[in-house]
Amino acid sequence: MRDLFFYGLSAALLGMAVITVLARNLFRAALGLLGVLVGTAALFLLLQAEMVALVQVMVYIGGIMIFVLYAVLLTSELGGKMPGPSPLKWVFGLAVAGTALAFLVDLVHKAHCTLAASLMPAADGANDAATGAVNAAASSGATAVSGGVASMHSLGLRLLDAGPNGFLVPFELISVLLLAAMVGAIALARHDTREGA
Amino acid sequence: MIAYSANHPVGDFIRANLPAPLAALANGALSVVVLMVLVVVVAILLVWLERKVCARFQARLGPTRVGPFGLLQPIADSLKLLLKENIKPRAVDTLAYFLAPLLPITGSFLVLAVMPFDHNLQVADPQAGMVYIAAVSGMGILGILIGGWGSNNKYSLLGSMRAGAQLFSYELSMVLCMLLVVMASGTGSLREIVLSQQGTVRDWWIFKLPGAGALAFVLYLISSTAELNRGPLDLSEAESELAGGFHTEYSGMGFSMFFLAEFVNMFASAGLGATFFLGGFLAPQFGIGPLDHILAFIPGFIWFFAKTGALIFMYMWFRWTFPRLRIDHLLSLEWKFLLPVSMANLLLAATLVTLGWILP
Repeated sequence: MRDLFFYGLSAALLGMAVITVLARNLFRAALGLLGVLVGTAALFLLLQAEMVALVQVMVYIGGIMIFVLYAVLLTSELGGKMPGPSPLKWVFGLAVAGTALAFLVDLVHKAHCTLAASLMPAADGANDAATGAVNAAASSGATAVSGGVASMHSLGLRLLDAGPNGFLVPFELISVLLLAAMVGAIALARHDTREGA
Repeated sequence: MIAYSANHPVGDFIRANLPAPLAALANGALSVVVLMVLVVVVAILLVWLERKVCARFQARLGPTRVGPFGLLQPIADSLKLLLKENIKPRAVDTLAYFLAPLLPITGSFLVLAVMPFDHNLQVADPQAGMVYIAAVSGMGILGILIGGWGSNNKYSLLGSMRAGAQLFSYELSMVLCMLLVVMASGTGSLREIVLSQQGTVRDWWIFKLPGAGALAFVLYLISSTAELNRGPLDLSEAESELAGGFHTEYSGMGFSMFFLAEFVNMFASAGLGATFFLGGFLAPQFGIGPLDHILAFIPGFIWFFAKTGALIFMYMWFRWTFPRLRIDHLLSLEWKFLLPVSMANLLLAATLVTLGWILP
C-alpha cells in the first residue's frame, strides 16, 4: 500500500517537475513548481516526518511560492510565451542536472551499501555529510525517537541544543544571515524611494 | 484534571462492527462528510446572521419574509447564486480562473480538520497543529493572487496585490499571538492546548498569563479581522469604494466560492480564538459548586460553538461600527504597531513562563 502511494506520488511529482521546466508560460511553470513542493511535502509525510512536511508547506508554499507568484504576476503577461532556451542553455542545464543525478545515485548507492552491511539505521552519517542541517536534524531526530517520527519536540530540542549533537550555533548564525538580508532589502528599498522623491 | 476520552461513540460503534481497515476508511469518510455539512450549514447561518446583525446596527429589521425570522433567506440567496450564469470572460487564463476560487475554501476546510469541537470531536490532532494551521492558511492568499491575475483585469490584479500584501503582513502577528499560547502551554497540538486550560475561568490563557494573555487576545482579534478581509480592514474588496477587488470578474459559482470561503474562514478563525484563548470546548467554571456542576453538564461542543459564536458576533460588531482604514494606514498599523507589540508581548510572555509567573 505504501509502495503504491510512493510510486503514485513520485510519478505525479516528476510530471509536475517536467511541467515546471518545459512550460513556456511562466505562470504555468510556477503552478508546476507549486505542485512539486506539495508533492515533496507528501513524500515527507510518507516518511512520517510530519514536522518537516508541515514546515515545507509553510515555508515554501505559504512564503516562497507567494513571492514567486508576486514576481510572476508583476513581470509576465497573461498567456505570454517565453522563447525556447538556446542550445547553449540546454547543454549547461543538462550538465548540471547530470552532475546532480550522478551525485544522488552515488549517495543512494553508498547508503544502500552501509544499510546492507550493518542492519542499523546507518544512513544517518551519509545523510549528515551530504545534506543540510535541517535534513540532518530530521533524520537524527528520527533515530532519536522510537517509531521514526521527527517530531516538533525532538527537532526543537535538537536545534537549540548547545551540546556536540545540537545545532545551536548554525541556528543562530542563520538568524544573523536573515537579519543581514532584511537590512540589505531595507537599504535597497530606501535608496530607491529617495531617488524617486 | 479530568481524563478526556478521544474516542467518539459513533467511531467506536463503527470500529466494533467493521473489520479494521474498512472501519478506518468509514470513519475517515464520515468525518469528511460531517465537515462538509458543517461548512455549508455554518456558511448559511453566518450569511443570515450577518444580514441580521448589520440590519440591527443600522436600525433596520433585516430579512423577515422568507421563513421564520427570515431564516430561509440565505437559502434563497445561495439558490440565486447557483442558478446564475457562470460567465467566463474571453481573455482570462482558464486554468487560473477556475483554480483560484477552490483554493481559499480548501484552506479553511483544512483548518477545520484540526479544530477540536469537543474532546472527542476532532478529525485529526497532529502534534504540530499550530504549524499546520499556519501552513494551510497560506492557500487563501494563493487563491486570491491566482484569481486576480487570471482574471486579466488591471483592477483585479491591483486588488489581489493589495489583498496579498494585507494577508501576508497580518498573518505574522496572528501567528505570533498563537505562538505565545503554544509557548505557554508547551504543546503544538490543539487538543492539548485546550486541555492545558482546565480548571476555572482564570485558567484560560487569556487570563492565566497576567497581562500578556489578554494583550495577545486583543492583537489576535485585530489581526484576524484583517486576515479575514472583513471591515474595517477589508481593503482587498471594499465593496463600497473599489471595483470589487480581486473578484471583479467572477460571477455565479466562482464568486460564491470566494464568498463561502470568507464566511467559513470567519468561523475557523473565531474557533481558533476560542481554542487558544477561551478554553475551547471546556465549560466555564467559576469555583461555585452547584453552578459549576450545571455548567459542566452541558456538552463541550455546545460551549465551543457558544464561544465561537460570541467571537463571530464581535467580528460583525467591528465591521458595522468602525470606519474603513486606508491601505497605507492599514499596512503601517501592522508593521509599525501590531508586529512590534506582538513581538514584545511574546518576549514578555517568555519571561513570565520562565519565571513561572503564571497565575495559579
